Amino acid sequence: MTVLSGRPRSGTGRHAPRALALAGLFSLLLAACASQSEPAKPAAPDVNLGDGSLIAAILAMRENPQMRRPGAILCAAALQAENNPEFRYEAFFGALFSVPEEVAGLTFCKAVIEVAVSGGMTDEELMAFDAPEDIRDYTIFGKLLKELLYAHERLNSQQVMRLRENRLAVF
Amino acid sequence: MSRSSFKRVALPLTLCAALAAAPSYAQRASDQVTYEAWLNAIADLKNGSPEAVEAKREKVEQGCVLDLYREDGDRQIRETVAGLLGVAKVAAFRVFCRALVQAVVGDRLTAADFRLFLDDSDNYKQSLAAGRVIREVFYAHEDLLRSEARGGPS
Repeated sequence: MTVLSGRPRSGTGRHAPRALALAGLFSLLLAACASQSEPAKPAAPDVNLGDGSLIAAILAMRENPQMRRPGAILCAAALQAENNPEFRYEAFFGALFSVPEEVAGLTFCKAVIEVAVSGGMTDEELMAFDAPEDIRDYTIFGKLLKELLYAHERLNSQQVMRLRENRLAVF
Repeated sequence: MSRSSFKRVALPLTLCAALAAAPSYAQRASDQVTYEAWLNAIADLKNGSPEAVEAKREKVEQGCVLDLYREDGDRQIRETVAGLLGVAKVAAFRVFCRALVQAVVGDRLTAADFRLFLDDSDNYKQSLAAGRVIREVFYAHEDLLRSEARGGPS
C-alpha cells in the first residue's frame, strides 16, 4: 500500500496506530491534568485536586470554584511536565481551541475547569468514566470534547465582556 | 480512576481512529489500496458543477458511513462521535461523515489537513492536524445545524 510517509502501513488503511496512540495520549493528558498530588512546581499554589483522578479533580473544582486560577496553573504545569514526544499537546490543543501554542495548555486547563464548575458533565456521566470497558458508554468522551469547546467559547465571551466593561469604566 | 486506567481509555480520540478509517472507502473500487485515493477524492470534492459536487459529496458521505460501520469496535467510535456531535448513536456515523464533508466543502478543511493527519512521520504536524480536524468537523456540524434551522439545505 502506498503510504504518505513512504513507509508501509499494515491492513487496509483502517488502522492508524499513531492516531490511536494520540487517542491514548489525549486521555493521558486529561489524567495528567488531574494528577497533582506532587507539588513539583516551585510556585504551585496549595490546591488539593483530590485523589489524583480526573473525577476527583472535577468534583474538587465544583466544590471550590474560587480555585479555578491556581487549578488551571497547576494543570498547565502538569501538561508541560508530561512532555511526551509522541503527542505534542501544545500543537493539538492550540489547533483544537484555535489559540497560539504558547497558551494552548493553559487554555485546555481553563476549559476543563469551566466544564467542571459549570456542570457541563453530570455526576452520572462522570461516574460512567469508571464503568468497565465492555459496558462503558463512550458517548461521554465525545461529550467531554464538545463541552471543552463550548467552555472555551464561554470563557472567551466572558473575557470580551470584561474588556468592554473596563473600557466603559475608563470613560 | 487512576492515570493508567484512564490512559487505557483511548476513546476521546477514537474520533481520530474514525477519521483514519475514512480513507478505506475510496479504496474499495481499487486493488491498489491507498490513502492517496481518499485524499484525492477529498481534494476533488469541490470541483465541477453544483450537481457534480453534490453527487461527489453524497458518494463520499456514503462511503465514509459504510467504512465506519465496518470498523472493529464500531460501537465505541459511534458512541464517541454521538457524544461529540450531540446526536443519537444510530445517526452518529451519518452525521459525522456529513460534517466531515461539509468541513471540506465549507473551506474549513482541505486534503492537506488530512494528509498531515495521516502522515505519522512528524508528531508535531500530526498533533496539529488532529486538533484541527476535530475542531473543524465539530464546527462544520454546527454550521449545518444553523443552516437547517434557517430552513436552508441540510
